[in-house]
Amino acid sequence: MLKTAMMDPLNRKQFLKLSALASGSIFIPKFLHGLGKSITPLAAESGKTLIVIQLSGGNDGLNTFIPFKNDLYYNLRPSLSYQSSAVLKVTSEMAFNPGMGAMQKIFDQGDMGIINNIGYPNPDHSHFRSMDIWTTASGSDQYFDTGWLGRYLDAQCNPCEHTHVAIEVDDTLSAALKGASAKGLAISNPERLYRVTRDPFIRQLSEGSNASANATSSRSYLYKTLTETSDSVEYVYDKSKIYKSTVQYPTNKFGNDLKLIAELICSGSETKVYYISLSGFDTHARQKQVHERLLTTLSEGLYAIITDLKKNNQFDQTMIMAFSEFGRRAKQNASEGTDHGEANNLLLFGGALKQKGFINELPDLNDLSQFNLKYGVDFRSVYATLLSKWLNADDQKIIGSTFEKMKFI
Amino acid sequence: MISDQQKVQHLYWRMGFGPPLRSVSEFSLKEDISILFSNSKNKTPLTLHDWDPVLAKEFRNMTTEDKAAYRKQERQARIQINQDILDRFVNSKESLREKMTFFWMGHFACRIANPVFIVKYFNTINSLALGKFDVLLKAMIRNASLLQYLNNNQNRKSSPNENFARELMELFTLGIGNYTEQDVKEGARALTGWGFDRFGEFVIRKEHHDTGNKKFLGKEGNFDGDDLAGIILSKPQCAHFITKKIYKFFVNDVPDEKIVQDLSTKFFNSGYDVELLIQNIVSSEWFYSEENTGTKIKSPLELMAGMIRNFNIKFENPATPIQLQKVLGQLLFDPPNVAGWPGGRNWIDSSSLLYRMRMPEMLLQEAESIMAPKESFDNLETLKTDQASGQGKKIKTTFDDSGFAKLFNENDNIKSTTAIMNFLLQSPAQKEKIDLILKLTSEDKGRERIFKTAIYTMSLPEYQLC
Repeated sequence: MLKTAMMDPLNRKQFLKLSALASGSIFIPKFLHGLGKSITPLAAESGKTLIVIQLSGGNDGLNTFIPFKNDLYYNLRPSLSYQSSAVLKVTSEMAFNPGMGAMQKIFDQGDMGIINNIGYPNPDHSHFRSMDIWTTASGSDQYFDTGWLGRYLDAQCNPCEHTHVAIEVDDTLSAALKGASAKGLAISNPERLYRVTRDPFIRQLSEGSNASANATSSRSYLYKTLTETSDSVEYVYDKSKIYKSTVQYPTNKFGNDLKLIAELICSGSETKVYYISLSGFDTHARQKQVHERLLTTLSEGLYAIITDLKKNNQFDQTMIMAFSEFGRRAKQNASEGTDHGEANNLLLFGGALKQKGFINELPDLNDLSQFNLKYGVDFRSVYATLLSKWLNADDQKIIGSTFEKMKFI
Repeated sequence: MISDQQKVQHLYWRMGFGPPLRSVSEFSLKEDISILFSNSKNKTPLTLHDWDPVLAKEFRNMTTEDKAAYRKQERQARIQINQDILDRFVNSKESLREKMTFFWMGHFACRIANPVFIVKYFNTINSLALGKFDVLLKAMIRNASLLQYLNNNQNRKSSPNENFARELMELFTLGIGNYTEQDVKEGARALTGWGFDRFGEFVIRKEHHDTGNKKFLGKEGNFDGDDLAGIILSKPQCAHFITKKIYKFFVNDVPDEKIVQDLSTKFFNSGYDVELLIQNIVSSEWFYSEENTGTKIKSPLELMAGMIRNFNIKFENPATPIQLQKVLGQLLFDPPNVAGWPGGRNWIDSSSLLYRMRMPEMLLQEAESIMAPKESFDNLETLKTDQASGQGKKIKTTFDDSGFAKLFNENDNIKSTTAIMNFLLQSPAQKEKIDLILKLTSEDKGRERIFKTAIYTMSLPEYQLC
């Protein structure tokens, strides 16, 4: 097997060859060079941050927030319901799933808001299409090429020089963060990606003379993307080294991902939007155990990051939203699970929340559509509220039509 | 100036999945055009092997273990289909037919999980890809996968579902603004009862079909799906809509309205002859102009097919190409929605660009994979595979560089480096890139130098273009 410098970024001989070719810029100490200078004190950057959590697969809202005094709930779910003795009661009629002990603490601290009956008209029961609708903020009869946060990037920074304005903690980029000209940065392990962009060959190309060209031609668009990627990855890598959290996060991928987000926020990263996913919510069979475990992962992760952000005085500047592509059917199926449904709950967390607890009316189990919860609040109202009142952006332009703003901010 | 060599390569990139491994001295634009069309007269159906579907009823009665085993077989059948199609894109002599099929799969975009349905869908499109569009359209209105994806099995006289009728006009034929909401409603009525059975065969459920009078796009009558197609096809706007989409896919993301209008008039007057439309494109001068050459961003499948062909790459794990398609954002039979893959700059973001640039090393030098695809939403339908190409894993391949190497002179470094780059790149390599690669390979000799030169060249951003 052949080996080349590209396989091993530290291959000295090849590196020296490249260095001889390169412009002098490679030898300029990093702190004098472009982005390297922005090593700021902890949390020096003010400004608001949004964290979006995508719960993939369709979270069962009705077994997340349980109406433990409602007979209809027990009728619809003879073997999938939770008895009132088992649930975590938070109000006189509502309780949390037993797996959500950590989230109950958040609720009790007054750091959480729950929107009920979230959805959109003519709901689609396909994961793929419904997630497409949520990520692009389209109607169920519209098809958009770009994501809602991608369009936020398009609108906010034109031209966007740094992809780290929106970060998805993952290897690949979700449609939600792809705009027409601007796109977010997908990064799951800053050090690893940094090593990739520091590969001598890639570095030579990203720092070459092509880099500064305007992105009018396809070729210059590619070079511009490469240069922005290298710069942003370096920026994120540098930031990720500044603040190391001492808060105990759950030892799973979701916990690690949230920890990275907290570290970047507390290090004063310029990032406005973070995006992260937790999947496995498609609970058609033997739901209880799987669902509880997922809700525990979610709750413990959230409890950790909220603790972390509070400790660093960042929680008032951070808004967290968790959504799922649809809720599940109110009536259980024959396999101890639930099938694809319609309306659901949407979760909000933040020190600046103006409305807390259960923000709007609870789902009406008397008024179902083929055993599905009916939607009452369009999810694009939540987006519009976050865009205009939190991120200071033109929600109408970004979403493409007007949606009533809510009062939680 | 676009050289004759580049023109021939352009032809093969746009009307196929890249040029064959042939000596440049054998290239002749006129002859290559003629070969392209004559080879694609042939049709080769895709076959489903080693898998027999069971009826839903039988499936329900299976034990949990048997169900799991059956699901596994079904996944393997999907992997096999994916592999067979990729192989056609790489090797088939009917490359124009395959490319046209690829286009129509993005046009009649459809997510399909059932292997029997996939094969029927593919073969319908493949066999009609270069014929008359009206025949293809009428066949697609009767296609089980499309009917299923657009909920037409739920379209009944008692409760019409407008999804199919809407997309038929918005995305498949006319484009938004050329019909009214009333046309959607009436069109949906004409399609009531049009469905499919579990074998993927088209059926009309008479009891659910609305036989009443319908008013559709200015015409009135007791219409059904075929009538809708006929009425739509009588509108020149339909020819324009299809022509423009074909132009954007094969020629340039930014359409030249004058050329599109001219092509579209001829397309309409020919009775929607797709092959003639493609003939008109490839026999023009503008097709080979500077602004149309080396300016399109390759789709993930075009990118993969080109690399695989050059080095006859074989994957140890047959699921690896599926993982690559997922990471790069284009898994066959899994478009983002019924509008298909947006294409163009949408293919490129920070991570997909880095992944594309590392692919030559990952496939040919056992470099570690830098990214893993996202987890799927569901547990049932998904094209689950093992994490063969996950982050930090190595992709196991075998390959043969002899076919590529013999096209180039092993001794004259400067000349052959330039020749290799001219063969691999449609966006001309600048001198600084040639110098860079010459420098990086200066200590390598003979075939190894050719191999490394190719790897570096395929790792350039320029290689993402065709």
